[in-house]
Amino acid sequence: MAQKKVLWLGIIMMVWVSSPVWAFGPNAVTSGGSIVRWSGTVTVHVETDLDVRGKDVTSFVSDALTTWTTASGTSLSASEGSLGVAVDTSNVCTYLYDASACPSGPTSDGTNPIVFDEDGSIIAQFFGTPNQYAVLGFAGIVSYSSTTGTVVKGEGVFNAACLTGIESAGCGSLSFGDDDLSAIVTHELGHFFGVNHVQLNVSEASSSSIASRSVVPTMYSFFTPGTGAFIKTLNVDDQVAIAFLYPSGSFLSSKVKVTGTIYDTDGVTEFQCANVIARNSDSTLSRSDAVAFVSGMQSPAASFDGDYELYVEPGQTYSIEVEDIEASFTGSSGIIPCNGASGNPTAPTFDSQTHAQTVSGSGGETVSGMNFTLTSTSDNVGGDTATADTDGDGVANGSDNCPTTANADQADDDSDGTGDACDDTDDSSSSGCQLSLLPQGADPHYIFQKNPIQKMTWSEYWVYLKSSILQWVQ
Amino acid sequence: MMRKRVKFLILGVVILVGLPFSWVGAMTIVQLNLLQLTEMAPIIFRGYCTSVDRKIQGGRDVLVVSFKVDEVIKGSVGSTVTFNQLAPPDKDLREIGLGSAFEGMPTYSVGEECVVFLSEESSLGLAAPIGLGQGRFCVREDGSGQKFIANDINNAGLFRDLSNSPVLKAKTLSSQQSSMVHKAPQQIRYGDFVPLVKQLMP
Repeated sequence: MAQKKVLWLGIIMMVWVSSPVWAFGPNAVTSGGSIVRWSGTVTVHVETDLDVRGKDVTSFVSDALTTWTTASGTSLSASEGSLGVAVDTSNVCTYLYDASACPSGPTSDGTNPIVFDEDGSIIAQFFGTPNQYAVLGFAGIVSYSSTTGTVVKGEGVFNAACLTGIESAGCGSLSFGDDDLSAIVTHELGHFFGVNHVQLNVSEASSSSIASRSVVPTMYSFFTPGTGAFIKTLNVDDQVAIAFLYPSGSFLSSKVKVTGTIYDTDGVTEFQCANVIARNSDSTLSRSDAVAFVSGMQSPAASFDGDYELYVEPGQTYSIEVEDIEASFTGSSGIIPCNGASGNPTAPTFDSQTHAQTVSGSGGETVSGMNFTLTSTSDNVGGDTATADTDGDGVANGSDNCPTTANADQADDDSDGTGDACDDTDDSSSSGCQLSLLPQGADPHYIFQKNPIQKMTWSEYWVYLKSSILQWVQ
Repeated sequence: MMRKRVKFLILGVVILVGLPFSWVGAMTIVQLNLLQLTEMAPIIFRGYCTSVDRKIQGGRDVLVVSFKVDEVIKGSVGSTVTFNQLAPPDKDLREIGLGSAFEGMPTYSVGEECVVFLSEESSLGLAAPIGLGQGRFCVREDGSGQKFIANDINNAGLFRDLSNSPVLKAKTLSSQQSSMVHKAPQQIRYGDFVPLVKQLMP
């Protein structure tokens, strides 16, 4: 029985792994330079129809709210109320505002609606079929005071059409699990609270190893279904981000503040849109204890600066890295104000650098003057990019199942996503249930696909499944 | 003229509620590979953008986009295609504190050559490329005149999982196409793209 469960788990993981998703980030600064954030306790107003084809989705919102409000160092307070009405295609613009889709919607009616689009029909009417299987939701701040940055109204729509077990016909390989929906709701409510995207640990985020996602922040720009159990849990960077917006009384005194400025190659011009990372120098903590800040992130629109500030733990030593924003983090998936969309500049490229010095301090201390002047040469390895090919085997890191070990053949006998060349736990030759027992040429990504992208009938699938189990039993 | 009307309409809303506001939005979208894009799209065509008009339609801010179709790759379309898509936030509107949730909606330039994976038209008369900016590939030239094609996320994830796909294994790919699928380049030569899409057709 346990072996059967492993077989199913393996199949399902591969199905989920097939479809990363990404999200948009907020512009979190007013034209006057005020940070956009809520004041006081935030009440979200959840629609009344939370039954999605027999599944109660109430907990997805309440869990996400708890995640953000209990983050270390934050004073953020939120409560859950009711919108008092079910929202669907017929009344969505009565309760939600959007400049394009619902320009006549309310912007200051005292509600912050949270809507579950049960079958994706709200999404479909805005973007056409079959985009309801690709657009999983949107959330954010609708209105705020342009002088103080205080938020007046926020809202969120989450698309449950492809929730595994109750998915609509047509979802095919785009189905996602409960943990994934939790991760999506948590990520989007992060934007609702004013948190921007972050680029941190790109190698792990791009790896085919699910376990590597434990060090990927919730607010990372891309998300792979199947990794929700990791992504729905806040990382150090997420916690610092929400505490930065809503600090508890002890936040500043409990952290070391590191500040500096990034300069262009002339050493004078301040350089906006460099990704600055403080990473714990202890090799066992270097990936999990890391925080990032985009230079100039707090500068108002149409103005530029290269300033950054990072908050790290006292008593630890950190190295400071500077890297450019990934080429794929442009437009809709980008980190505002560096995404090249809607008047924002595209993030410039340069060689990654690691600061020669390290940083340490005590709680409440500010370490300032950690400045960088960019050079035109590749003077440090950096290499924390999905497009780089660290091991030189011809396969980009983002696609490489062994990013630091050359393996041009990408062999992966146990199909665990980690190539044989670097798989210390390669169990393909053990007696356990392995995906290598799947029929030759079968692709688990298409097992569950249904119309309109039919690949295998249910009777064909049953024959296929039986053959898989039989091979496993043998 | 239309753009001014859009601004006036939304400014009217601002005046009505007496409160400066803006959208600070976010959206989650599945990253689709080329096979998924090809299978999901009811319509795929190659052509030149001939007009882009922004207007209020049905109370919504939309782009009316027209293409002269040079090649129909999938579906049934005529020599021209016109569709209405929700507009991305107007830069001028943002400057006065207004915006949209749908920051990543694709944009179009007249004269631009693109391959578009298009959705069906919704009950509101709206359509969009599949996966929004992922389903609109336009041609770019490098300094040497070499033509490349890219979508709004620089082809990120476009070849993910394709090398092991039984659908592709059942196809007869050229060595160049096979190499492209395995190496998953971000830069895709224009001349290689459409033939590969045709190979992936269901």
